[in-house]
Amino acid sequence: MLERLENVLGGLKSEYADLRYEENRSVNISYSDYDLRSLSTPRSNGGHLRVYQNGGKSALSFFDIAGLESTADKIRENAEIVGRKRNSKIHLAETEVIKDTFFLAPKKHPHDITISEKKELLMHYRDLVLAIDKVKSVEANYNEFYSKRFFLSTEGSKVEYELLISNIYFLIQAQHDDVIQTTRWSIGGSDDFSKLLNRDESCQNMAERASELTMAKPLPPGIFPVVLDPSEAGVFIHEAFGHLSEADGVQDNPDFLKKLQLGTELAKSILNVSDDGTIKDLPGSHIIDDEGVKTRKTELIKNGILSGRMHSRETAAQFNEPLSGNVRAVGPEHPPIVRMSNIYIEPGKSSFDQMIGSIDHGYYLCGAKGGQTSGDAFTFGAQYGYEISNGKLGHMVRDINMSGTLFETLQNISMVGNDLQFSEIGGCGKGSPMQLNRKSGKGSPHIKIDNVTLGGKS
Amino acid sequence: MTKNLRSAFDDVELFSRKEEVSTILYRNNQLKDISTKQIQGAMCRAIKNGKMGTAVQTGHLKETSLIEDALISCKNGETADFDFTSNENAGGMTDLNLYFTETENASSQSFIELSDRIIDDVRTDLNSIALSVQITKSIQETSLETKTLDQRSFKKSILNLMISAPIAGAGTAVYQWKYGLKPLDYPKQQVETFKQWYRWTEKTVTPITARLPIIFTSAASFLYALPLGFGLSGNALVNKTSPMLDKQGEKLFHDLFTLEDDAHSPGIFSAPFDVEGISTRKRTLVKKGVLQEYLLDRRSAAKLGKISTGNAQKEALFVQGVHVPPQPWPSTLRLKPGNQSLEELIQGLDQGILLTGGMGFHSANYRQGDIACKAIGYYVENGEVQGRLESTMLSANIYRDFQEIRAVSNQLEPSSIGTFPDVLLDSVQIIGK
Repeated sequence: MLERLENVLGGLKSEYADLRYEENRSVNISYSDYDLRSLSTPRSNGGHLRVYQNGGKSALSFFDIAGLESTADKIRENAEIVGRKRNSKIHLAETEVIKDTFFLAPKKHPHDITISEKKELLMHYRDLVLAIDKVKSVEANYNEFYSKRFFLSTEGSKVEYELLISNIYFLIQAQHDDVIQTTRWSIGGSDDFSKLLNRDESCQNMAERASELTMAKPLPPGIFPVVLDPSEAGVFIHEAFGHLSEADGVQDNPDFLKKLQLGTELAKSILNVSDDGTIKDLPGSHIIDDEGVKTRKTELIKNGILSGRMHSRETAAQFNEPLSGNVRAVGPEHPPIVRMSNIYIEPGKSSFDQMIGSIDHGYYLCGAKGGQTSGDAFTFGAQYGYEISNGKLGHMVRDINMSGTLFETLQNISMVGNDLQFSEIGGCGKGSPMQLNRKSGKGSPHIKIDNVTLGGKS
Repeated sequence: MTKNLRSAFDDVELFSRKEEVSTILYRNNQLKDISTKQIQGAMCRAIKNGKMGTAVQTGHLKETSLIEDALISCKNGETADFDFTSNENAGGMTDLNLYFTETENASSQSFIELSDRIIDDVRTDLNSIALSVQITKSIQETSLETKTLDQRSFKKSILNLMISAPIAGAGTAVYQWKYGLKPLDYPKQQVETFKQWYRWTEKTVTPITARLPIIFTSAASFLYALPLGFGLSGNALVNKTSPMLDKQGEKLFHDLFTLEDDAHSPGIFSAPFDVEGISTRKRTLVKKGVLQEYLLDRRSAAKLGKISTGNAQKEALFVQGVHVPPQPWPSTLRLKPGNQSLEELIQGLDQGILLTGGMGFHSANYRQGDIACKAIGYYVENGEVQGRLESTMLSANIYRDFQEIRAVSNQLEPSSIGTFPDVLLDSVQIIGK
């Protein structure tokens, strides 16, 4: 198979081409309460060819090598057409030619656990959740993704590498009278299966949280100071800032190219943000990206100043900035795009008590519940929260969503905690069609933000 | 289906899809990429010794591994509470013409010429705009067979055009889109609407926090259509978490709200049969505000003691593809249009919101009908658009706020989940300044 792929690349006679081939195997087990909705072990084999010619680019996703062999020349012609039409030509930053293999060595490999054992584990946690008062329903999911990848380029790179992630994700719904509330419980997020074991307390706590939420007061809409817990602050920095730090998100937007020049002051000097795929055992940890560039730590904001960006070879050349090894694709049907690896806010000096104590009337928001961003506008939810009154935590609140704009909100971060924590589970949707990437991590200490628009329940 | 696959199981269903997708992408007024995807995949569901199992393959189909995976899945599976042949709805299958040779033969060059024309047209009026145009052609072949039913299949051609541009000084963008099964005419109406919506972004307004009248344009219809999809879904009925549970025949919305699901109306998800092979047909889900019917697949129908409505889909919120297990979901929704134009709805507003989208929809408790998100659109005063919304959120609930509809427009426009007119609600909570 590799020989056939190399022959295709060798026969293209293009200025540059690369080819990623994947052999993927997943395990998906899904329960809806006591009903086993799905138990499958999907296989997916295929690849993605990129051809650069005359300053233009074209790509082919294929699931059959014969299809690649018969179409490759057409892809080269398409790249040439694109190049002829462009005023500004597409170039690639130079990178090291790598001929190597990068294999994983998990502490407890998910492949050593039988499907039956994985199912039993999921049922065990499901039963713990369903035993909690007011819990109405639970969607319980075990997901495992293993990918063996080959990367070849006309520059001579030849890399074989692995990706592996396993996690458990629960959507828990509790009901009291007409109020139905939802919490999410997620564990795992690495290649180590042992992170999924012995987690009863954490599981029961999140189910009890759903139950408590049915008795909580709806959050009144308005503008308030807030403290975000590490999970929520991690989503904030991912959604509000991280996506604008992915260079392919701003490369064709003249307005943001001007606003996001390196050296721009974005926040108070207490804020430091980095992306680092080299930290081990986190969702976004990896060794090499999907265009053959080794991952590294990139300082994105240093002392409040924009200091770096996440890049592909194409955007690094356009911006004349260093490569970062952030390019990844979730499957052969997708092009590789710039993705955060593990983005996080570096720890500051404030304690949690100092933050809460500094607020007369505001909210403490907890538990990531997903978000969305477009340019510098963002919005995201919190699973639950607490009122802060006269510097003290008060009653629980529910139905929490916040929104804002990046530049204003970053300036409003007034305290950064000293308690950095990484979330176990990541996940990020980007691209059209959307690539839902589970290998995306985030972390933060507690942070305080002034003047946040909260959309609660009217 | 081969003899080996038939003989390995007591009952078996094989769903397969082959698709070639070609995309022309312009960014910031320049051709950026021409890409091609050749996708193929299959899902096999099987019953062995009364236990249900599933196997999925994307790529070149290897029957031995498909059988092996399905056997492992059956061994660990639960008792099958439905099979793959019973529960056929009466009336047979409608022969739909969803494939057009001229669409398949449309060349990349013709898409480049169409994109260039759109960009020239828009930049004539808006010369500093950073325009994106994406044209996607998809040719799909779908087939399904079971141990006892003959193979049924259909071929479909789809063209999808999207125009967008980031708004200078804002994080959001202006979008317009058009799709069809036949080659697309020049999208004159979409281009004109795009230009008007873009011009309206020049000024910004943050309204006061208050309950205000709001027009959900068709572009924003997903904000209420997706929660409705969850509420109508057989899965939510089985779990007893649907706000519409046991409310068939009850009036839940205003008289002006009549919603159909019609897999036969030409669209992205139209099909003569659903992904479980059940014939599709037009269904009225809500008639003059009264709940008529739910959306069921084989599994939820069996759990509820009913028959499938032919609504098993492999497309739902955030997921789509051969690997997705069948689940009850709308095919192509259509909200009944009213009598007034969108312009008349705007002119009739003393003060209100023209909503063209929302961000962060999925972070809210949407399964219970809540819409809490960043509002994207325009502020209207004295019947005229004053500027785009800035720092504005929306907090609504479809089961409360869609009981008070003032008017529905007479223009149906495509959205991501069907075709919708514009809907003017009496008031929803807006969070501004």
